[in-house]
Amino acid sequence: MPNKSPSWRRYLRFWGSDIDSDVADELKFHIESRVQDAIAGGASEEQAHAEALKRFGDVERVRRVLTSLGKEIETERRRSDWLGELAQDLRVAVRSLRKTPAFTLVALITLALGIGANTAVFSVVNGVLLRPLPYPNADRVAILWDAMPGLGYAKGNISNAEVIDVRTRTSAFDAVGAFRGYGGTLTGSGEPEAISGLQISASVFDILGTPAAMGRVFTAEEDQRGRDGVIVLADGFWRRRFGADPKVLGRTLLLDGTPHVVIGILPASFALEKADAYIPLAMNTDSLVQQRSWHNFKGLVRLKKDVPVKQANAQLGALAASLRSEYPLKYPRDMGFGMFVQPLQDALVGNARRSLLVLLGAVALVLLIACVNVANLMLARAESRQREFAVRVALGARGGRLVRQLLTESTMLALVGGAAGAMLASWGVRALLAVSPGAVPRSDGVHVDGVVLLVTLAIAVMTGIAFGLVPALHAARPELQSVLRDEGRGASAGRGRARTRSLLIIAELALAVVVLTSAGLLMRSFWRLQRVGAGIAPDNVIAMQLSVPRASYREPEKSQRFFAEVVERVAHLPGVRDAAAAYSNPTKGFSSWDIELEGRPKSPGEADPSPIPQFITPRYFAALGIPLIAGRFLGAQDDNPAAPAVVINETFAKRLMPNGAVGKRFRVSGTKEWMTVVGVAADVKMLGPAEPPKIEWAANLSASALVGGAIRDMWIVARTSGDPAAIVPAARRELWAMDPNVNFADVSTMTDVLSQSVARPRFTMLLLASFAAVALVLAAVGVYGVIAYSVSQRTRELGIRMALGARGGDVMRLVVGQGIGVAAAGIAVGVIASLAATRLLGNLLFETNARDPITFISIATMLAAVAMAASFIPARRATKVDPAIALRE
Amino acid sequence: MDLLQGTLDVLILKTLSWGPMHGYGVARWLQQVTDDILSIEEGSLYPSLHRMEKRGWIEAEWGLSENNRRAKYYALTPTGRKQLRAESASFTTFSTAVVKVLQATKLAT
Repeated sequence: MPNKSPSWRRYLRFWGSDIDSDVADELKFHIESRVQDAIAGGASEEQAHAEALKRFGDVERVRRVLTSLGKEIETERRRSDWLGELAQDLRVAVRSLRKTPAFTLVALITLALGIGANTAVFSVVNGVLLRPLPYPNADRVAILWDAMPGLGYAKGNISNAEVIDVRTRTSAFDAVGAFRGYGGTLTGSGEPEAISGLQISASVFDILGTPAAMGRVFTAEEDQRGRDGVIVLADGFWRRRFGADPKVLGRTLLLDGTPHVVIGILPASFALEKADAYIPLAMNTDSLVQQRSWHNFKGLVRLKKDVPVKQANAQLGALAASLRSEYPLKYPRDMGFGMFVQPLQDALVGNARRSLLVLLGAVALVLLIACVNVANLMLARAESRQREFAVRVALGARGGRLVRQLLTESTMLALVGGAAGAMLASWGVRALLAVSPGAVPRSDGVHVDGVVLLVTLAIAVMTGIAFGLVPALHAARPELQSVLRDEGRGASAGRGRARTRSLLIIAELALAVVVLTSAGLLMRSFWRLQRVGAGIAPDNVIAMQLSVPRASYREPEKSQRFFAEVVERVAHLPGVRDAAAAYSNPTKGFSSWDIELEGRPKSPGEADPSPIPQFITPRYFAALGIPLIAGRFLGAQDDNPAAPAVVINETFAKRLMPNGAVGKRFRVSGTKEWMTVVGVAADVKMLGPAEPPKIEWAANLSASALVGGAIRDMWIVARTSGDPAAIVPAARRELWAMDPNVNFADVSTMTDVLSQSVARPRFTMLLLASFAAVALVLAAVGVYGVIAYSVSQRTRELGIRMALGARGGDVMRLVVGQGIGVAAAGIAVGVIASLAATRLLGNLLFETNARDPITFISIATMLAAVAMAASFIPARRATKVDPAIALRE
Repeated sequence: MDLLQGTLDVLILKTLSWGPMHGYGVARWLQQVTDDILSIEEGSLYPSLHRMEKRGWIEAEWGLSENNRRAKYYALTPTGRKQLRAESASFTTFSTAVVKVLQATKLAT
């Protein structure tokens, strides 16, 4: 047998193979041996060389063949080595995890919660923020806004004249369109139904590039007055109302009494704003084209290829500047008029972005906390496996192999935990969205899909490495001798590990503080939101939208009489205490009219105040429970068209009539009649308490003809003594007794309306609070684990202390003191980190300081108490140490 | 004399069946046994050796030669032994057949 090669050569394979020199050595050996033999046989050296080379053939060719073969062999060997080791690691991992079912179960639950929460939040982020809109060129589609910062509108609707200006006077856009909401009543097939639709210009379809799923969308020719009797149905409405019947195509529907032919059905993915149906905007009449101050449309544009949003906005800024100088009366200097585009995706997502990113950050911290806990469990487990590792090292396992073994175990745990987490998440996301409707935009596209699962896989692998690495590195260098001689317990290695565990717990507590303070701040902010309230008494109030068709209610008096009678009939239903109707539904969009105040001439460049008008039936304030602040409410005696009386809101009074409002007069710009303020009512904030206060005034419905023409949409509210929803069928019967071709829409209780207005803050707060709860439990478990472990390590020492006369109380103080020390360090680090981190909450906080001392102090105190309680349990066990037994061990 | 690829493999396997050997050893052994009749180009042994190493018929290990030099030793694996049995059986069948044909031709004349 040949001698073995020196063992160091094996290590060469770590740094890459030395195939080239191996091949050269082998061939050189052959030729030189041949030469030596020939010389020994009597040949001259020269002859021997020539002969050897001749016998060998083409050395270079052989060398090339061998080198490439050698590389193949090397690759194959590595792969099979690796696979073999992996299979071995997996076998060992499964065996050892099954031997410790309690550890495995706790670790898996922790990981499933941590990874599952991340998967759930990521699936929401993916569906809302990352998922592209289902339109070709979606990244170039944007909403066109007006800005009137001087009037308090950072972004607002645009007028038709402005749409035309943008179309003709800028070069940044392929196409410019407009749309607006439209409420109408559909009759002619079954029960009349009030639908919410969109009036859109034909170019909107072109901009979005979505063809109809069936039939067609309307053309530019049909987008004109007189030819606009066409309608395109949304997928959901088509399924709900017509049972997905394809024969509805070509049928004529009556929308507010006007015939519209169904020409197409849109695909389900089409979503601009929530709508049942789409009809032409038909803006081509002269009077509409001229409208410059009637800001009633949303603009939709598609940017030209390679034109960035910034450049488009620069063009719009320049256009706004020239419009300001061309129409100084329409755009007074103080208005600060401007125009800009906002990418459609941003517009749809709105301010949900920050909420979601904060949640994503918080949930990542929770996962880190989970990692720390599992790492601690693994460290404790590694203690009991010291002998196993030492034996393996003694038998020749390299440190690297042990690290790999432990990382295989941790990654396997993380993958199994991740799989369970993904299941939790797919169930949890559905539950989450079900309990918080409307909290997140675009939520229809939130699923645990392939992308989400891939990310979960990546998270699981990273998690496995994150919590496995520290224990693995520790285990890889066991103190061989002492462990094998069975002196392992209490030796210096244990102390090193204890320090690592304490550091991990400090980090864990710090992370928990960050999550808890963020949640605490949001809870405080939400509490403030709730306390501010909407300014109304929402209990037992039902709200319904009612529109009447233009064709049958052309005269203002007729529609006024109709609405007044509806209110009258509803008010007399059994169980109804008050009923009223209002022109402007505060939860929907609103328009504002310029006014002039009596006795206050306007200086040039000054913008007119532009409050929101409201027209009501007399019991409006009573029905909603809006408190009176000064003067009186409106009554029937105020129905004087020549001198209407109005009630203004508090903000109106404070801003425009600071020296007492009652008795003052103002009029709508362009009208003659002065209106007298008879009362001041409290502000109403139905869009959510965080909404900035608006300037509003209200007059009797009879005044509407004078200033605003006919009103055909009203918001009916009724206060009841019992369940408000119970009166709806009776109200509907009363309505149909008057006119069978109309119907109520958007029927909901006021409590639902208000809870909708805080749906997002509640969603963010509840999620963050539940993450905080998980963080708190994990932190408590972590502290408990470390203290319990340290007690078990110190049994001997504690026994000696007690044998020497220490009492239970002393031992208790010692152990709990250790817990408090760790907790204090963790909380201190956490508070400092939180001071920086909570600033990211930004505008999610309502009237709450991101460094709110009360929140910080309560969170720190709570965590300290929890840490103390968690160390109390092992401390009690420590006092029960029997010195005799402890010393014998 | 030209050798078929498979034939060279069988010869090498047979040579190694006596014990581990380096490439030069194989060449010298074949030369002695066949009285150099085959006059194999020695360079062609090596691709054969390495290919069989890759297939797992033989395994290689570096060791020290008789004159104390570093040399790569090849040894038969169990698979290689099986392969040798199969190949030599089929080669025997083949050569017997060839011989039969050659002799039959002689008889018919």
